[in-house]
Amino acid sequence: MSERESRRRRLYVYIGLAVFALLVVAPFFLRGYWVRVLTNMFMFAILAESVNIIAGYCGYLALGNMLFFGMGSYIVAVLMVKLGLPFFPAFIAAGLGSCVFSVLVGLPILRLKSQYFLTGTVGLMKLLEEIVRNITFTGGGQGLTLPIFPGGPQAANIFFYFCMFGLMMAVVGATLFISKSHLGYAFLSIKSDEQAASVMGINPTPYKTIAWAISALFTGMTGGLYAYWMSYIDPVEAFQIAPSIKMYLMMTLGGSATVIGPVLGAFFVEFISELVWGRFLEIHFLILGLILVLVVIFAPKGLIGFVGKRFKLSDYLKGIRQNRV
Amino acid sequence: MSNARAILKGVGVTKLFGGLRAVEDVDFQVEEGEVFGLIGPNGAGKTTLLNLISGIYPLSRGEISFCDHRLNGLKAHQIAHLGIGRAFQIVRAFEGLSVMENVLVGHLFGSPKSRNVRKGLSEVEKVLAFVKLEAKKKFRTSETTIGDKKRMELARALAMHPKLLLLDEVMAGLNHREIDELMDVIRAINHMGITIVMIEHVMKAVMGVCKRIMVLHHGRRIALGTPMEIANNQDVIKSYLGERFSQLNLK
Repeated sequence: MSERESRRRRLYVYIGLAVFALLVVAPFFLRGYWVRVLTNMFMFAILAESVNIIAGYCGYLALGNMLFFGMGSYIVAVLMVKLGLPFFPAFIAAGLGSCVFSVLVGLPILRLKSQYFLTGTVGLMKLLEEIVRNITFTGGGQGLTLPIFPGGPQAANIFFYFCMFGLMMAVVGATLFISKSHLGYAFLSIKSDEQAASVMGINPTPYKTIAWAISALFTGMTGGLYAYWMSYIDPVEAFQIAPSIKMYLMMTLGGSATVIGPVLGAFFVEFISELVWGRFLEIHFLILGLILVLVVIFAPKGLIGFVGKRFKLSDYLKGIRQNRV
Repeated sequence: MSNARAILKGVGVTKLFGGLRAVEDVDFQVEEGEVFGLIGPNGAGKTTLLNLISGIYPLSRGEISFCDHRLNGLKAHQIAHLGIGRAFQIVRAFEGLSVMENVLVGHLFGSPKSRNVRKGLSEVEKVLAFVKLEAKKKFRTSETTIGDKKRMELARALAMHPKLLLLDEVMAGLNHREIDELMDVIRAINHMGITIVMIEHVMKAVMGVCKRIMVLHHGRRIALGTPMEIANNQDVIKSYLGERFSQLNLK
């Protein structure tokens, strides 16, 4: 049993390394279009994984998590355009700024539970959007145009590809660390029963705050990278609700509270989306919705639930029985 | 008995929910090393009293102290760190974690200095073996029987290395064989030097394990004494045990 388990684990490691190697060499062989598609997939993987840390592990449904994305992109834009800073310091500042902001607002707002917290985060996002829209320092409703990456479109593709890829590896690494350490157990206990968790000696406040701060750090950095990549940012683009929902779709689809699930979900959704979108612009959300419904019915644990299991119809029927209304 | 130290002490403990007096002016002292029973009819305020001790509710009036620490105003996790472990009446397993991981949570966070997961797991194995649950350690909590869940609750509280263990109806829903087994486990825990406060409706367990028993009725203390004294107390018989019990017991 344990030998089979360790053999299987070794197989996963090999698959992981192979995928890693493939992704490292891929941008040198693919067309620019596909490099950008992959970069986009990485971006959503980071966002989904960040949501996974606060929502999947800790159970706090931060639907407005994109507020850190907007914040990070504006920090980079303002620092580069108004203060003339180079990208990397601005990028670090985007992460740290979002992280600090999440702690400041998290201490009061993380006292809210379930749907109230969810609404609170969305409110906060809209608040930031209005602030950004109404002060001239951030370019108001017109947005800001960032300096274009020097060295031509080919080099830019490669640069942003590897930045996103590196950031994705970092967030997956962070999640892996969390899942193996006492943090992960604290988060999952809080998600399951916050009161019982506190009777077991877990002080919920710092743990919730840490979870959101890690989530904000990566989301903010992604936003910063995105702003530089697009070289233009405006309030509507930076603070969108639709990507927030997409992040939850990806997380649930791949498997929430797992390390690799949200990444798989992001790849899957973005890939399908890319295929379907080109052909059926009008109904592509319909198809995504249908896929989500099917996954929730047949595999409530997400795509990751399929990994390493033999197909048994009864398992899936059980899924239906347990999850029907 | 008189030279034993009081580990947990309540003076005038009162909890009001609006106009409802859930617990009113209850005084008690739990001595170090004893098994202290808490009985009474449904709604008497037993679980509320445990909630006050473990810091889930703030006190309305009165004072509770544990090992010379005033518990008033402390948060639940601070009280847990002082050394009070708790098993809930309605099992509150952490869903999504295995039996072993549930117990691990108790170990990791019960005392402030044990945050190492790998070391914790070997410690948890011992606790699971102690409550005879090691065969099911990898099970999801949703896949186990009610008896297993109760043991898991007990193991999780025990893994916190408590000085005082609060048990809320750990016997409820178990069959006779399981009750006997669990009574042995509770006695063994007590032999390790852990003081126990237990709420229980299974009279066999209360009478067999407890050294002293407190009876609550409508939030007030109506009796406190040894099992024999309680079984013969007219107030207790009238409000809780019933005539038949005293006749059976006096034989």
